[in-house]
Amino acid sequence: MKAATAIVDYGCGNIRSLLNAFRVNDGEAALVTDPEHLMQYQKIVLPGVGAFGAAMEMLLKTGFMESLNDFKKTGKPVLGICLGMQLMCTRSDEVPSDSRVDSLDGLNWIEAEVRHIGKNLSTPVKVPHMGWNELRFKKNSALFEGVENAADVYFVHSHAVHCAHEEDILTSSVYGAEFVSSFARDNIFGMQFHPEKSHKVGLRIIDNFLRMAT
Amino acid sequence: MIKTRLIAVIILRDGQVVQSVQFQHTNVIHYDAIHAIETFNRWSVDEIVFLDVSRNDQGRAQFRSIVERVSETCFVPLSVGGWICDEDYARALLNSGADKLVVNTILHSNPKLVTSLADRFGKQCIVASIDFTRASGQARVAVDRGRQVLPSTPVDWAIKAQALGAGEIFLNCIEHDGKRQGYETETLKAVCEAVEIPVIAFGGVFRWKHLFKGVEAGADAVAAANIFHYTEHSTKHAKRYLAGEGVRVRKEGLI
Repeated sequence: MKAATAIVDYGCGNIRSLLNAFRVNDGEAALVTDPEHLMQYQKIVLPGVGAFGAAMEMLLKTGFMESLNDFKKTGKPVLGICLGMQLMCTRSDEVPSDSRVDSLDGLNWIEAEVRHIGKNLSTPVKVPHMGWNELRFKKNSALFEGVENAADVYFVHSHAVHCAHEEDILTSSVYGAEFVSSFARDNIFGMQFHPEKSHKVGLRIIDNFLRMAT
Repeated sequence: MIKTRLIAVIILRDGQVVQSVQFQHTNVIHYDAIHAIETFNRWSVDEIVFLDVSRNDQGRAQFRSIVERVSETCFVPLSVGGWICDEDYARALLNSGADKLVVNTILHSNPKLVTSLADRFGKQCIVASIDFTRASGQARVAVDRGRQVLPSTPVDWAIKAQALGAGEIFLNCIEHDGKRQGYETETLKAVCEAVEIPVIAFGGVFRWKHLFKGVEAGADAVAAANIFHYTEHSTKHAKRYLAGEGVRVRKEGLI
């Protein structure tokens, strides 16, 4: 059984390819622009491309912040992808260049910090981290059923997640330093990589999410 | 560790897949774009670049509709370009399922647009395509599908593109394009050393060792077009060769 999935369309990023991928294998998915419609769905995907602060502002402005918090309380699965995962964290050091603060608050669903990839590195790396990199399993999850340890997935990001609690980490990856490439707590899931652009491995992960019991 | 990407480039003129030789596109390769994408997708190529080299911008609507169709079966990153000279068309391509925008001539004619596209869609979305010619001996940038040669060097142009907000460089030498002699690695190396953003090498691959030469020159991704269309499982053989040379490649799509 695959439940109807809402892909939150709050004006941040290109979500056409996400919709295409969630519709493979008869997945039932829709772009949702009205926050009041969220509750009708069994699962939610929170995507995101661009800057952390701008995305948080859009969530607030569109009214999605409130409805996402309400949906989360129902215990039904919510999956954050890329910036969507970062928004679920406590805070991010990605601030506008003219900002007076050194971090911005996220939804705080998962106790975690989002930091620039290049921060505190002895050997610098190119930023963004763009391309295929490996998943290291830290914990079993239905999300990765049928996926092998060290499978390659596609990343594009300049900031990375660092969890406060080891038990929230599903996979880590290494680019310059180790970071959290996916996490889970209760009904909250997050992936730094793009499953919709990670070919067979990514489509399998999406299928696993769609098949997850609600 | 991040993997070296293998990229298939598909060149379209008026909706048909064509061969490119020194920026002339006379030979139509006998199948449509959808077939090409599906094949590369099945062979697990790491990324696809899709370029519209039509002689004028009249084909934009058709190109957009092809992007829309191919994106439905393309589950690796899809970069598209050709005739991107305003934000509306850029947005239309992204809404049609493209992941990145390849810009070239506007780096010269409308650099502010490059920055506004980067601000709007993120730097990761902007691929600066840099064509250069060595017709006079020295490497010089050319825009407008190679027709207008500028006084700038590819290195200066790459630094400028990075400053304008590009997230990647796609580098091609006109004299090497389709000539089967491999990449122009001297300029490639200089560009790779000059910028902090990833560089994609393109133009001239005929042997798998040409791809390896690109990696040695410092490219983060190696691309080819014509050669991948000719043999069955070509991209898989290419990847196997690179892996054999000790290059870290994505495991999927190896033979």
